[in-house]
Amino acid sequence: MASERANRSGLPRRVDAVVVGGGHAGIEAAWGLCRRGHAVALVTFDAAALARMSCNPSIGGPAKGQLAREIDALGGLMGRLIDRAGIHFRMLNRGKGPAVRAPRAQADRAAYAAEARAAMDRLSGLWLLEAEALEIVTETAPGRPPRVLGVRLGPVDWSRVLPGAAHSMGATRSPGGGEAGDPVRSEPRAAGDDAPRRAMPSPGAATRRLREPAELEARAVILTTGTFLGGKLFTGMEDRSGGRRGEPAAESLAACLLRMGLRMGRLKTGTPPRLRRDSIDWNGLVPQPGDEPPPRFSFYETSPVRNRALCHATRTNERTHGVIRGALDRSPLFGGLIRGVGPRYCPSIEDKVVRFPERESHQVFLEPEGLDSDEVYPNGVSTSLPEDVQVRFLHTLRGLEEAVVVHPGYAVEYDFLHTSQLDEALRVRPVEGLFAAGQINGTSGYEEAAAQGLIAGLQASAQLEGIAPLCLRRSDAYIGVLIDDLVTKVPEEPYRMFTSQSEYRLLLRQDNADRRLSALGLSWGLLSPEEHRRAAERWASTETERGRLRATRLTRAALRRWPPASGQARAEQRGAPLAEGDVGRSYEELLRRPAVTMDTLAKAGYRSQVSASEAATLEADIKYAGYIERLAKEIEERRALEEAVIPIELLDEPPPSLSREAMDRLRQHRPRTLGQAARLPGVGPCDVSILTIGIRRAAALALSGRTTG
Amino acid sequence: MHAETIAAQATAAGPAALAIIRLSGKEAIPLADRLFAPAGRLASLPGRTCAVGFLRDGDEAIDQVVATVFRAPHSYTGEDMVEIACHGGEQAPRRVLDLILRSGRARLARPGEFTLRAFLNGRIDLAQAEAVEALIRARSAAGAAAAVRVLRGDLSRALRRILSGLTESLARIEAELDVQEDGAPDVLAPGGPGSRSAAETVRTLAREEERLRRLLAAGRGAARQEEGLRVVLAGRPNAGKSSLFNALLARERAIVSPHPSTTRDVLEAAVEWDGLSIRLLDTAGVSGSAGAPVAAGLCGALADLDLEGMRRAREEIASAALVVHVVDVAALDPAQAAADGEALAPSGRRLTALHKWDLPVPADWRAIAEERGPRAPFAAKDAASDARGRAGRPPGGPRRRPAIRPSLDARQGIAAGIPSSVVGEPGTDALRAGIVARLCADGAGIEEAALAGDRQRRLLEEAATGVARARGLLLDGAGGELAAFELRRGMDGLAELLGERVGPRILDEIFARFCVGK
Ligand SMILES: Cc1cc2nc3c(=O)[nH]c(=O)nc-3n(C[C@H](O)[C@H](O)[C@H](O)COP(=O)(O)OP(=O)(O)OC[C@H]3O[C@@H](n4cnc5c(N)ncnc54)[C@H](O)[C@@H]3O)c2cc1C
Repeated sequence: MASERANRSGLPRRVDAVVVGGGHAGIEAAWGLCRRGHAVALVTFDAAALARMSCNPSIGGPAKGQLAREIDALGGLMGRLIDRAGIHFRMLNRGKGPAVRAPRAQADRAAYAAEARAAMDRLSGLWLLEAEALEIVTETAPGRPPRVLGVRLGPVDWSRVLPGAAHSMGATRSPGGGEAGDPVRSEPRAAGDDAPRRAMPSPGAATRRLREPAELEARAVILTTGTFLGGKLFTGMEDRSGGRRGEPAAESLAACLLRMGLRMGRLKTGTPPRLRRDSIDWNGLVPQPGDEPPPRFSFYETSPVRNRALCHATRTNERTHGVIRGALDRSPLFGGLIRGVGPRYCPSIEDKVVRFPERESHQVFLEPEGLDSDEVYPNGVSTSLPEDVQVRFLHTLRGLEEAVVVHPGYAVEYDFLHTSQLDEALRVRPVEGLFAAGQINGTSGYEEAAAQGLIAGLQASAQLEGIAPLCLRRSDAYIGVLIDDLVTKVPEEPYRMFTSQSEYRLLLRQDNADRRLSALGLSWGLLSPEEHRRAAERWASTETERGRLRATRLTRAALRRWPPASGQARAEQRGAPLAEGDVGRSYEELLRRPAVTMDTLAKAGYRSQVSASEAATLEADIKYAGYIERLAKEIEERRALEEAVIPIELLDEPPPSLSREAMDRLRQHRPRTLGQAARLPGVGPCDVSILTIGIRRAAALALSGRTTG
Repeated sequence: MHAETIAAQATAAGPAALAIIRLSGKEAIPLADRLFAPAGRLASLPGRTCAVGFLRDGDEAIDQVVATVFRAPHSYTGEDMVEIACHGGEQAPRRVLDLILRSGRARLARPGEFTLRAFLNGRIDLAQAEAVEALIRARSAAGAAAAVRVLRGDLSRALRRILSGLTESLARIEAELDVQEDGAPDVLAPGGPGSRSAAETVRTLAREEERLRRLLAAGRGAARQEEGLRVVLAGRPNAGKSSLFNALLARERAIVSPHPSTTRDVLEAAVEWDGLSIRLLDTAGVSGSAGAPVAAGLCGALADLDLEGMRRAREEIASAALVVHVVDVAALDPAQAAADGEALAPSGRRLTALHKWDLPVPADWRAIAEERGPRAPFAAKDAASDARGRAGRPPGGPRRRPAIRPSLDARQGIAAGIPSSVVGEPGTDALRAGIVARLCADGAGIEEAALAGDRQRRLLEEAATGVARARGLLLDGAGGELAAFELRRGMDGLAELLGERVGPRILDEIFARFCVGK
């Protein structure tokens, strides 16, 4: 598995796998592969921009927080990175049910990238190459699908990036930007080069900036190119090629994918302008502190997390909307320049103003980009209007009267892979050895990207090692939901996770992600036995505590001590208060009532022996117990469907009694299991029955073939 | 053995002395035993024996029944099975099935599911796989047609309205859960603060629940009216449909009361032939503003109807158990007739009447009749198969596209046509017998009609329960995620009934109504 050093610049000639793109997906993929002992080249435009946050400087939020916790539970990077780089932590939806509570943290953008870099630097077996992946080299033999042989690389052509748009963001100042004209720098860049706060030793990774074209051989290639394929940036009626502000687009690679016959589509997304911190009038803006104690993401890390910054809120008003309405003819969105479909859940401010004319005001959060950063991210005003309009409408907001725009907002339009070409292992089916993860698959968001990256890395490992792929079902994790959704429906807008996408929401909670996934993380070598053991101890103590709650019964004395319903509960007229008739009931039973919480029990004198986070899990398990049982039954009933593998012959030659639409979908998506097939649009219950018969027949034929032949 | 136990009525709906309800799966025997008095009797029965007793709902005896127990693998499906023979008609079988389904230990079978299980459990030879597939497809088509029948017009509009009310409520709940972060009131509907939105949700849910319950109550009456297999007469203008309609009714004067249908487009009459309840429909109810008949196909066949009449006729044809294609042999040659027929309805649901056979018959038609030889005129091969539809029928041609040049299948359909006339020989007796034979051969059609009714009621009930629970949870201040859970489970079936899925609708609704986003 070791790579061979081939030339004097110290570049390997052959590695096990190449990961193209050092974004949120790419670093997790590299992490997974390296942890399984493979030699990996991580190729990216800018080695100082690993896991760069292209848009909002935060991780988590509804459904995304669940994803981030699952990534961590499996032993991925995201949770650990944000715990270190976070500066403002909250648990959203605290007032709602445990299934929809979600952690979110503001990140110090530069620190986050630096932590990602440090994690890569610590990985043994990793080559971090600053280069452009130009082409995927494949081998074709008649009668077989093309097979990946490697990747052709070239030096990054920084001259293609517009001057003035130095490829730096926030405080992550990249020396590369200043050396755009110097393609011959050969010294490995010291790790921590760009991480002023934390200089990390670099035992593992070898970092190189490519000076001349080169070819890397590999049996597996994972594409995690984000918004860069055929990327086009829009500000006002101007557009130019680019993957992200200050970075070039991946034109050559986009062309290569088309040449390979892959089906691509076009999507768009946008980002707001960045403001200079000291140009904002903070007086009179509503501050929003983090939660104390700050909720952390990682199940396994123990280093403390701290709230170190504040967010602030302001609002748009009629004048803002007036400015925007007056400039719609200069918007590339409404002017018809942008063809790609943007996400409806993350509309630009011009979109909001047009689509919701009755709204007089929209909220805007001012989020710090970092502790030392002098940039502020105004959350809620993503826009691709011309810069002068951006400045004018921003000045109408309270606190922003004199705000200075450091970088204008822009929209980006990019190519994505039609996901009917993907299988659940994130393999790009038409090309053997090719995988894809992240925004290239039509998703949006750091968490969605990281989740896919981690899985793609493990699946590529499985392929290299010839072992069975990892399988996460819809009922196991949001990650399973995400991937299943991708392979059974092609996104029509950038796909973002919502908790409502999961039919198992009550099971897939952020608080129990470790219970669901850490055994898997251990078996795939991402977690140490020690980390897993500590998690297992937590569940054991939770179960013990549940036993105690079952055994403890309400006494008259406790009833007298019972705290009155909280103001909020009363205002919402939640449930009835406890009564004499409840004496003798177990605490477990009482906890099923909406108005009773572990907190209530504590106030009534119950002394819990578990930590606050374990208590939260326990409370959720008890409150949802009846539903969890029903879900378990549903899952059991679907199991036969989910486990029935559709033989290839059946996909090549579908039974003629299938409906025409079902047949087309099967040919296009080539589902692996009957469960996936059943979720394809246009496949009805009758088609599923017919496929069941086909599977049985194929199995019987295979059996008789074996015994006679 | 399958995880789930399934149940369905195995005999035709409508007046009959007995009805059979079938149960198959792990729970079949214990469940039947629990509902049966004397208690413990069924559990101890050896396979293939029966017992007489009462089915009870708590303390109330519902019906006296004969229950036959089959033990795996010696049953039709190869699983444990119970066949409960109860009194016929509409009340008794329905109550028995409801009782079984309400236990939560069995669910309603899908079209052809008993046969599917028989196959999967090796009770049907592998070589018959294709026949089983075709049977399932046919049953599902019959089921779909039956569902359309139960869902025609007003009812389906009413259901859609309910579903859209529920979708809106679910979207409100979901928006609040999923995209509204604390302190970001931005996602609230134009309609104001969260609490108001919650109250509105509760009100909407109450309203939709009420609508569902009203439909359920009314549905019982409506189902009675719907009773009977729908047989539609269709064909080109002046083919003689109306006179044939009258002639077919005339023989039944004693028990038939023809009455104009509620709409002006279609004439409808109830008859009972050989114990089968049938509703006979004549699509020529509209007297012709006849445009020039188009060359061939549906348009031609329906050209005498105005647009509204045409739509209605199409609906009837789509949902009919059997379409009788009336061909005026003097006016059409066999190829034209075959093309018309093919465009009208799949051959599995179509019977050709070679009408006006009393007049001099053109040579090409004569040739066909002679080619067919002395076979009984309606002895379509279908008629031979088991009336309960257990055995697979060879696949018909329902998936073929209409073509100007009629397919082999269509020509055969024509060849199997039944000569008829209003006066003189051959008359309408053979046609009438042919219709009955085809309907019996199509056991699928009969069974699915019953199934569709049951299914619809089940799903309405489930929806009503889901809505009621969701509302209760919201009122109790339990989490919106629980209300959403109940509501969605209730809506799923309703959406399926209307051929939709809930998931995508919810996100659409959220994005359309709420300004979400950072
Ligand atoms: C303008 C903008 C606005 C956005 N707005 C939002 C938002 O509002 N909400 C939201 O959830 N998400 C938003 N996103 C998306 C979010 O940034 C991405 O979903 C996430 O970063 C995707 O991660 P990724 O790993 O797939 O790709 P990225 O993080 O984009 O990383 C791709 C990496 O690949 C490298 N690369 C690409 N091609 C090549 C090549 N040929 N050779 C070498 N290296 C290459 C790039 O240098 C980059 O490092 C936005 C992104 C952009 C650009």
